[in-house]
Amino acid sequence: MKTIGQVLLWVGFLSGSLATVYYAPSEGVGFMKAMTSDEALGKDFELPDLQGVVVPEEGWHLIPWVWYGISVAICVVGIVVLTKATSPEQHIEQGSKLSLADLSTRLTQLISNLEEMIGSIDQLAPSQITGRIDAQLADDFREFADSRNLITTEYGLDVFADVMTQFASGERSVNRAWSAAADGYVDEAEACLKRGKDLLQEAHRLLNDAAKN
Amino acid sequence: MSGDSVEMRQGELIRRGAYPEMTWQAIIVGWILGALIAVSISYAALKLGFSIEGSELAAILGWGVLRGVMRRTSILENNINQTVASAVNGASSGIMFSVPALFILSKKPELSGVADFNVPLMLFACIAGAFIGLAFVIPLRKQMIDFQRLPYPGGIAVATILKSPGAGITKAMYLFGGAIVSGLFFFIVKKSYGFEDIGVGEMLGLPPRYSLVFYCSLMTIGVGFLSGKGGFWFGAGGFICYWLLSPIISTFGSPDMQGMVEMPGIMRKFVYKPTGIGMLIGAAMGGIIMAFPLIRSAISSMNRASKGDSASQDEMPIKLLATAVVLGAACLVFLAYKSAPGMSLSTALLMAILGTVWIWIAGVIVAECVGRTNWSPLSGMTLIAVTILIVIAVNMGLGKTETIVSCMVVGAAICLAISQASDMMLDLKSGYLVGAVPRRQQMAQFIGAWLGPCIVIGLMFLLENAGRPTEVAGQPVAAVVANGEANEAAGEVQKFDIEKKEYGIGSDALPAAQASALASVIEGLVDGNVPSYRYTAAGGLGFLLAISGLGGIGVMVALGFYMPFNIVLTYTIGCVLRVVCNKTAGNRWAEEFGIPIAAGLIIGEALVDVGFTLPKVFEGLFQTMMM
Repeated sequence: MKTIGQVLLWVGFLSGSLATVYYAPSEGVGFMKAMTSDEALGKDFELPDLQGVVVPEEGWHLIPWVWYGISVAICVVGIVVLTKATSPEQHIEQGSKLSLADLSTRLTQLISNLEEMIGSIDQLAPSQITGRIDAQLADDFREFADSRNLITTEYGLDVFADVMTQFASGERSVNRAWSAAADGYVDEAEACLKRGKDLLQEAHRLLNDAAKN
Repeated sequence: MSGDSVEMRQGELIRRGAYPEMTWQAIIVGWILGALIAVSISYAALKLGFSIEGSELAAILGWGVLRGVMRRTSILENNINQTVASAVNGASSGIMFSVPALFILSKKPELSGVADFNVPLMLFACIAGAFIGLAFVIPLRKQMIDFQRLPYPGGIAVATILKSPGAGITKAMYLFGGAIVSGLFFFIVKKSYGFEDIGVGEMLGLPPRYSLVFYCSLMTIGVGFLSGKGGFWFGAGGFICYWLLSPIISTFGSPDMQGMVEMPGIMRKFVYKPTGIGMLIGAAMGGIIMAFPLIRSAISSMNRASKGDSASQDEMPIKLLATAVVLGAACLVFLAYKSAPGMSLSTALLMAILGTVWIWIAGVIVAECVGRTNWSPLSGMTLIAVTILIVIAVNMGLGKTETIVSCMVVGAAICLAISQASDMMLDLKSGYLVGAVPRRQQMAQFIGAWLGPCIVIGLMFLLENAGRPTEVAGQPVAAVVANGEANEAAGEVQKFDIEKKEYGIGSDALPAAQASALASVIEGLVDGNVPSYRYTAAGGLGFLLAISGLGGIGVMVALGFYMPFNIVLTYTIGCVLRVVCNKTAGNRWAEEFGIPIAAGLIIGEALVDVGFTLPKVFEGLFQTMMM
């Protein structure tokens, strides 16, 4: 069904596009005929070349509306079939490698790594802090973000928005810790890592609550 | 040093104390750099017809000034500097694509009065527009950056520059290596030999309808790389036009159309570009409807800021932004009412309301386009704005001159709003990647946004008057034209011929290509010409794609219709390279090294381009001073 929906959508869209561009405005034809062959083969024209060339509003007859209407109808049928066959989010997430359980695991892993880093931050040089953020956190952040739409599919937009608000703020806080460490401000780096951990814990709690409900 | 105290740990310097972010040093340096960049890029826009993104340049110059000269030590402080500077520079494209059209139109005797507009009112319009655009787009940060995670290739490039001091020598070498290669390529291939494109289709013997021409720009490849596989839909739009629709028309179309598809430039200007504009509008409307639950959720999240939600405390209060929008809309009513004699309050009200609604829609369109591809359909959106305003003004019975002036005053405000909206979102993406507090960046954007219009409008008048004979220097254009006509009637040799474009904006020295196009369109619109049939048909298709549930492909495909295919093709190379890199070398390699190289490709070309522009700016300004 999904394939049929996709085919109908694109057939309708392409047919409608062809209907939209099928007939030439007379001004464009006139402009074309006035050009030399070298000019006409140019890849593009500077805008001033077209000064004074306008397409009249009476050009409504240039669109074959019956053809266009049928195309739009096919497109709409395709969208309806697609929507019934699968939710949009599922479609987007077809390439996702993670499951919802994996998402939760990624958050747990991020929180655990942050706790470990915060515990030893007094012994770390600034470059070691940035190095550990890159080595231990970046992959989990990316993988969670790449599969984030699974949350919408399973729990709806409100839960998605709440979880992603906490997650994104947590990631931004860790990014700030990286910047602060790179500049040598270790106190700020530590504070930001702690804040990032708290925000990710909140994201984890919201995700777990949604799973329980 | 910025830290309160300094000590060593394992051979590395550590600093104690508050981490500098929103400082006066960052703001003042941002103002100064922004002013310099705005002058350069505004002049380039008048002279060469295109604008250049200023954020990367501001970040690099800020890096040199703040770190190198002032010994400041904060990535986030430089981020505020580039935010302020790019906010100042936002006026260069916003104003230079719109307001100079008035000077160009004024060179025609029957429209000579349009250049004698109320300058303080125009300035006020531009500043008010900038503020409305910001107030509208800021609530969308959560939806576009936190939830949708749009790539914003330009934002990634800026963040890569900002982070380069701490990213290690290897990454820095990749960044600067990419910049050097791109800069040299641009210098040698484009500037020295004048190659703009590689006509692969011609080499292969393909008919011109396929338009297989690659744009010579490593920057464009870098942008495609940063967009990744999400950018393929942009390419798809172009391929649909030139590899599907054009060949079909070539086989089955009318003889006229069969001739036209063999001229891809004409085909784009008359058919695909207007189709792309219509599709963009439709896709944006559909996208807004589809994203409405997320937008509502993002706004609710901002509302919680005052109730102590930790994650929402970094946001600017939504009530403040709503107040700014209402005040801004009220300003637009005042500006429209005062912009031309004979303007009725009802016409002003209608123009302001529709203008404000369009600012929101166009702001969303442009922010999303920049977020997905790094290209902004600013001129197309301005064109629609002016079209809407002119249709209102003409139908309400305003005269030709009054229609043009009033529509350009409100239109300039809208253009500035759209320009600031896309710049804000790009900067917020950079800020996200370096960990900036959004509220501070949003404040910085407001702090910079007012200065740009003052500088750019001042520069515009300076250049318009450059080369004028002393007896008419500083006089209104109408007086200059009247003086010329009087001289001619008296049989005297006309010392200056404003219609022959001997000097000023629109002359051979300052052709102002984008504004010239807008001027010609305005003339057509005032006379009742607008391709609304194509906008309508394409808008329906864009709307359907947007509500199909396939993510943001509506805007992407529409932008592929709108942009020249040579750029689309080169951009697609970057997307393919990213996918190949991810598959062969892994995501980590692509992020660790591919992104700095791609960012370098963007920076190198931009810097060399600006480098070529600067001497022309100083030469132009010097000549003006010598008058």
